[in-house]
Amino acid sequence: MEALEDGEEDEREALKRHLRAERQKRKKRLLEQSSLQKSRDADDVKDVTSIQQYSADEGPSEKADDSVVLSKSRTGSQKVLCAPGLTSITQHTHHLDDFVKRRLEEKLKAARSKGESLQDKEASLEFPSRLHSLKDRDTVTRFDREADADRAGRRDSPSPLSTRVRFREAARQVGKGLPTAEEAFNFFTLNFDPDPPDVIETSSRRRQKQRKTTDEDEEHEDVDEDIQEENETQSEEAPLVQTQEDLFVIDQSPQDFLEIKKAEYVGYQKLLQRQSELLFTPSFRTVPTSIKLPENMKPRYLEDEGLYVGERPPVSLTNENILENRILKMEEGKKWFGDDGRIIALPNPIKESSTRPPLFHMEEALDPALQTVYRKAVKSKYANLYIAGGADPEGDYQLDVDVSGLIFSHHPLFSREHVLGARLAQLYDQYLTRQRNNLTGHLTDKLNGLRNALRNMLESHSGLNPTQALQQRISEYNLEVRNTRHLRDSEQEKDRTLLKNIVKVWKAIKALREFQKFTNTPYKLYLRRENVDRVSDEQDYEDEILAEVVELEAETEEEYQNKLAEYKKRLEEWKLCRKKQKAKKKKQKKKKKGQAQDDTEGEDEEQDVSESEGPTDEPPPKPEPPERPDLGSIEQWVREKTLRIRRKPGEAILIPELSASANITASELCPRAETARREDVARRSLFTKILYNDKEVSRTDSRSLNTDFRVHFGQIFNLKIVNCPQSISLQVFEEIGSSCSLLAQVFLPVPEPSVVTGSVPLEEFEFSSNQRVMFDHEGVGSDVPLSFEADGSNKQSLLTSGKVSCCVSWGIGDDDVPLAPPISQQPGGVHSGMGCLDAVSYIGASGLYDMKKIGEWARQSRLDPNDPKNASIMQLLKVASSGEVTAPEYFRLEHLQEEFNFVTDEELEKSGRFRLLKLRNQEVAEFRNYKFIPALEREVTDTVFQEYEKRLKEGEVIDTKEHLDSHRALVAKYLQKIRESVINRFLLAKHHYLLSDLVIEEEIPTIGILGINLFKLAEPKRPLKPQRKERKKVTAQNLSDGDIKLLVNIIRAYDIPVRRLQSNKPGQSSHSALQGSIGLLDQIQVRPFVEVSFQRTVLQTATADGPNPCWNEELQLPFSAPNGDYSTASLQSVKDEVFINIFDEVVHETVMNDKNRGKSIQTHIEKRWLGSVKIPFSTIYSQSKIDGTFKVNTPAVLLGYSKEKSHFTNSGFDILRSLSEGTFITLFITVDPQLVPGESVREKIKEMKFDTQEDERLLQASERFERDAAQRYPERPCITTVIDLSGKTVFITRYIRPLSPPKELLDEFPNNPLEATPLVARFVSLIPSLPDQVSFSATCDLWSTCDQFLTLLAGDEEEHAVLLCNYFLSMGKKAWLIIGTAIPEGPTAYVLTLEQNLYLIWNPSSGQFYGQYDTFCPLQAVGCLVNPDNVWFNIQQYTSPMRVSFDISKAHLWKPFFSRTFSHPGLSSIQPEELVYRRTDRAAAAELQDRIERILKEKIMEWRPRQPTRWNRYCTTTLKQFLPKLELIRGQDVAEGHRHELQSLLGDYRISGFPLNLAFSEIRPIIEAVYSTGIHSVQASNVEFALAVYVHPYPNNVMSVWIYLASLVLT
Amino acid sequence: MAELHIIGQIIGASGFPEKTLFCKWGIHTGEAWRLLSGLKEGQTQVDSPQIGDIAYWSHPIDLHYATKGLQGWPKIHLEVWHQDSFGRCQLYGYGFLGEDFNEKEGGRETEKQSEILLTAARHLNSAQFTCSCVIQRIMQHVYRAVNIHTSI
Repeated sequence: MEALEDGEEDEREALKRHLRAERQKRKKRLLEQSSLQKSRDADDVKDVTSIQQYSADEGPSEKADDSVVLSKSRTGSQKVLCAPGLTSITQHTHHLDDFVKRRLEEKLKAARSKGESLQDKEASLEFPSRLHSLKDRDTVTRFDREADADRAGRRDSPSPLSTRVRFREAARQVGKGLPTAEEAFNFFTLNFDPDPPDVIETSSRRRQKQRKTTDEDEEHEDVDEDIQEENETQSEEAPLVQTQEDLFVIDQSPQDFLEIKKAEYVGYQKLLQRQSELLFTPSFRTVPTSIKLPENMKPRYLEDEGLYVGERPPVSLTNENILENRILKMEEGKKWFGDDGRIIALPNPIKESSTRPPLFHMEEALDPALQTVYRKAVKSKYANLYIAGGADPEGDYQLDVDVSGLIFSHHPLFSREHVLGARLAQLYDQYLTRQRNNLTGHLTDKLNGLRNALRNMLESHSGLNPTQALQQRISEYNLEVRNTRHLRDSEQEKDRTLLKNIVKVWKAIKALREFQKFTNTPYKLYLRRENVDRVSDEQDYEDEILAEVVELEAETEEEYQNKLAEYKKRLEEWKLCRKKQKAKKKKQKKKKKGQAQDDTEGEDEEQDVSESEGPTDEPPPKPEPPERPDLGSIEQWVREKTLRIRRKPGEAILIPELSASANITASELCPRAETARREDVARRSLFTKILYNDKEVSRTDSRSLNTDFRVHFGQIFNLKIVNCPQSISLQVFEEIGSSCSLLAQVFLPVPEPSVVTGSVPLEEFEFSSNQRVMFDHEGVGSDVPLSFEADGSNKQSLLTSGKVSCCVSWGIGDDDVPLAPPISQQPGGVHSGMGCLDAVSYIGASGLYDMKKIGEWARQSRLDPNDPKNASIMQLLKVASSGEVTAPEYFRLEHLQEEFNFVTDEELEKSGRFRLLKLRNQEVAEFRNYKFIPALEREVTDTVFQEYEKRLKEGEVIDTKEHLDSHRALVAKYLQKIRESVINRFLLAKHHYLLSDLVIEEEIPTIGILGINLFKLAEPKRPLKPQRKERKKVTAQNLSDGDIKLLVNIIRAYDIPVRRLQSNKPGQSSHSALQGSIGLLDQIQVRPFVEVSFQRTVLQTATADGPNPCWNEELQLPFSAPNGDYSTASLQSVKDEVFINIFDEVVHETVMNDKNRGKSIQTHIEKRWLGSVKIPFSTIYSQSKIDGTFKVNTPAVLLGYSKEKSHFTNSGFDILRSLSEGTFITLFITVDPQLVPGESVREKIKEMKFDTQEDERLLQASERFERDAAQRYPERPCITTVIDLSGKTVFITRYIRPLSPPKELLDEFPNNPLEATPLVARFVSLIPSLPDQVSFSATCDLWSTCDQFLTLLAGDEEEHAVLLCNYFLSMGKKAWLIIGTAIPEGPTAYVLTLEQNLYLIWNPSSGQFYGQYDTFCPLQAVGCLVNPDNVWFNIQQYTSPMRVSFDISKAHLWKPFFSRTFSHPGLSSIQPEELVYRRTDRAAAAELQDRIERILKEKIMEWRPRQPTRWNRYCTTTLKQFLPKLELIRGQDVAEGHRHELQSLLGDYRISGFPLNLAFSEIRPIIEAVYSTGIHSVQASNVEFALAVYVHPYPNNVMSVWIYLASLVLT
Repeated sequence: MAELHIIGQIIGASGFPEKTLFCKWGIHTGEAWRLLSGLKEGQTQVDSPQIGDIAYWSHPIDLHYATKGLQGWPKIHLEVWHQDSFGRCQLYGYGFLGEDFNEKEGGRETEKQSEILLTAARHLNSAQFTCSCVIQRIMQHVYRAVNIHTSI
């Protein structure tokens, strides 16, 4: 670091030396050729070049820039008030930000105004040399000095400038260097001007030049600038040292450093060759892997090893090769390569999908907060701020610019006479002002006063000794008198010179007029002579001289005395010194002689001292005694001076009077050149443009130039302003013919708000232009040297200049209100030059990059942080103060939110009431129909949420205990998901209201109806023929608990099993009484009654007699909807079922033999379950009433009962033999009041427009087909399209396709496929049934394909029917799907097969089949038939299967969908090619069996809380053995043998029992079924129970569950 | 914790160049407000009055808010649209009902029918219209148990 610095210093020194050499030379030359202007110019040029040589490494930083600006602005103002200077300056500062720029502009203006005043002063003082002084060094120097002072001041700024200090030291070191002999010689002998100002001048001029060069090159360094500056200050502080340095390299010249050579040409090939030596071009060939890897290593591919390697970013192979080649050339190049020999690269960073969250643009879906909002364009607030006083948008501010006129003080078209005339006028103006001020008079009076006072003082104290104070005062007076006299003298001299000049100029004019023989100017000077009294004047004159002489004598005397005293003092000193020296000399001599050994050190010391002192005392000038002043010469001098500066005594006072009364010679009389000039003048006209904020706002009329070069405009411009005024300027244009040129620009100050029109006088603003104009006629031109002397000497160049008289003021409104902006808003405050507001003047331009300084400045000047002008600075400061840009990480709209919260979020969330309200609003099932929510928090109990929370938990974990089977758990989960998606879809549809939903209009009765009604009134009343009245439908929202009742009308039953006599058994006696009563008929009778249970309400009918009882009884069961929700959707999803159980009432009488009381008979009534019918509530709800005869689901074996033989004689087909076997019950069920049935699912679907993959034409045809059907036969269901699980509309025939049933089923009867048919039907019926309406909460009917159905293991009738139909088709049967209505399901699907010319109707959910003419067939109406090829709609008169002909070939009976006009387009099936069945899992079945048994046992014990429940194990095992057999024969006709077997086993027991068979879905229905049999309700004390469970597995996890229940009573 | 019920209706609009109008509305609240029930935005039907100048919607508004702070009181914004005979919709005016929408009657029921001016800038022969829309609402504040936490 140090070495580097040293080097730098060396270099710098060399440069310095060189620079000084240059300067020295130049100085020399200056001295030699000081008179020659030309050479000086040349020198200047040279100087510039020489400096340019190293200006490249000499850096002006921003500071340099600043100083450039300062100095330039000053010179600029000195020279001309023209715009170009300004623009050039601003250009240099283009890299500063706007703010700084503005400040600089303001500063420039301030400088300009200063310059103007200076100019005025100068003009008045030294007019003749003014033009010279434009380039005069003096002025420049002065300003530079100021600038330096500035800089020196700035150096005191707190920021430590270590570099500067260092360099200053360095400079000082250099200064201390010892001069060589040659240098010393030069120093003492060389003749150069030692004047400090000169040195400064040269240096400053050099600097000025330098600045010019630096202007061109802005990229320099601060340090060098500092050096330069240091040098400058050095030169000022110690010019001697510098000049001494300059001597160092006096002999060197720029030629020594430069060498001129011819340009060399190098051929292209040679160039290439040379380049190839220097440059390395990597080849683009593939690098072999071996090079890239370390020695003896094989490439290792991580991918092959199974590790994940990201995808490399794509790079072209060529580039990669080049890169590899280049890297290999480098040291350690191999580290860039991975194990696989490729360059190590990160995985491709480009993501496949956008990480930005997508913005969905479905019109409504977009969050309103994100929607684009149109806003009308408004004016920016900040723009408004510039309107002074922004409150009023009109900005009613008016600036009046009065442009009165223009006077040229010089114009190119001036003739010589004009020039002189103008000068005369100017001088006369000066004279007038001086006259007005009368400084001379004032000073003379003052002088006289002082003298009188002094005289009085001396006189009054003449007798006394003057005291100290008096002496002091006298001396003060003397001093005052002296000063005043000097001032008066100079003023008098000026007056005199002025007068002389006036006269001289006037004489010149006169001479010129004489010479050119015409007059151009109207000027005429009169000198009025004012005679004075000669005697008194002379007396005054003499007195004055005398007084002055006396004073001067006194002064001189005093001075002499002082000098004398000084002399004496110095003489004393000298003498002392002298003595010392002598003594020393003696000592030295003594030393040389004496060789004194001792005290050598002391002597040495002394010697050192003497030596060091020696040179200083060596030339002790012997002070000369001061000369005695020659008092006589004083008077002489005074007289001379007085003569020079004052009017001679007795001479008349000359008072010049300038008038414009002279005649101007007419043009005809003038010479040609003058005529040309005058013509030229006449051709010219002038106008001015008014620029406001650098924009032209208006211009004056064009006025022609007069011969007196005065232009009168007299125009006032009212400027309505919006922006705050920054600059107002006038541009003077000269028009010659059609072309016009800019003469000059005049900047006008922005007036203070108090300056209003009418109160301000016109002001004159000077302008000037440095344009060079030359004419070939009399016009003197501009910037052309001109001489008035005969010999052509004393040349001067005149520049076009003049004065504009104008004024700017704020206008006054109609109501005398000044239209000026308020002062606070006045940005002119900046113009007013308050130093602290001006950042540039405060800290300097370079400080703008020093954050500390800016911060300090901002703090001190109290910047308004809200002022948009300061926004940039504030921003900057914020960044600077915090150290780094730290944007807040959050965005808050309501930032005081936290402070004003009265509860926390958690508390709000915790509130049970709010939660309840929200959940109700969200229509969560549990809370959907909460009518009242407690108003107080404490009334909301946590129990309300328990169920909901439990459900939420269960949503994730499916209870396996509930499902007993993991597969079914999964299915349940899957179903749940489907349900959710479907519900979501339907929620959308739900909000889609039709007109009929909202507008319910009562039909206005027509005349016809009215007539009929009237007619009806007249009808006779027939009470015996009651009319059926329509029940009024009730809408759900009006309902509450207890309003709805389920009406079950049990009419009759058929073929109820009868009791079988238990032969040969004891206990017969108990029956005897009963049997006795009906014994006549020799029939074992039964006393059946019906028990209806619904929602755990149990009601029963009266007991009837016989196997075909008739009850005709109505039972009313209350209905309550889940959670009190009586909405349609909720009612539709009620899962409750109505259980209708038929029991036999058995009365046991036991005789109690009590010895004390005698005999008593105790009667036990026991009910025995015979069979049941289940009707889901959803069916009742959707059907609104159920009326018909149903087959009672009776157990296969009823112990103790037997069927009456049927009376039917069987027809040929022996399968049909058992068709009508069974018990039947006739029921009528309805809901009171009638509920509005849920909206038909299909209707909703129509509205919804599901997605589809079907052909549009097909869909249209289907719609038409269905519409026609609905029109003609509104009762008949007609389905052509259905919706699959994914929510797509599918044509129905696609579901039908032959699919083979499980092989196991077919294998059972390999020889007889007919036998297999019921087995297949049973398999299908064992798949649990789950109505769509329940599962999908009344949304829609979804059809799943067979594989989906088998996977889900749940589906409604349609799925069962489709599967069964497909099986039948694959088994080679003719099968159709029947779309129709059945009891109790309602609209449903059955399967029709054609067997041996007989049509069989299969109920797929029970596995039962019926003949076409079976009265008890549950199918009530046939709507349409479907097979893989077509759909036929029933267009016969009747719908009942018994009356319908199933011959689909007859077109008048069945309307086909695909006909000749619209043929089958070859729709492919959506069913799979083949169904895959899972093997039966016997182990799982066994496990399930155990679990069901255990659960059921627990349940039965639970249901009997009061009695002990005993289990008869023996019976249980026996029963268990029966169950597989039952499954094998599918529960048909085994009663006899079975009973016998049991009887033999359990002889002593009275057994009643039955097996139940269920398709397994989950445990709950099984429990329900067991409960509904009421087996647990046996009251007998000695009762025992037996329970056996058997689960028979079928393929694909289909399970058949057998439960054998029995109660045993020991007799 | 405080609750606020906003119950009312948007009655209708008048003064628009056309009479076939409908209205879109919405309620904006600050961060502290939780909607407990009700819809906070909606759209009325199109009313094309045969008689009279007022298009009546009588659209109910029923919201229930809970709040944890006092800032950001609900504001209702309304947009009046015109539907022409081709079914095209055009915005005719919009307006905002801010602070005064909240009649702070402290638990009382206040009923007030207010008319808000909707600024409608529609250039019809370069003319501008200022139209009005009438809304009526009943405010019910239920201030209960305003628990202000003080850390003692």
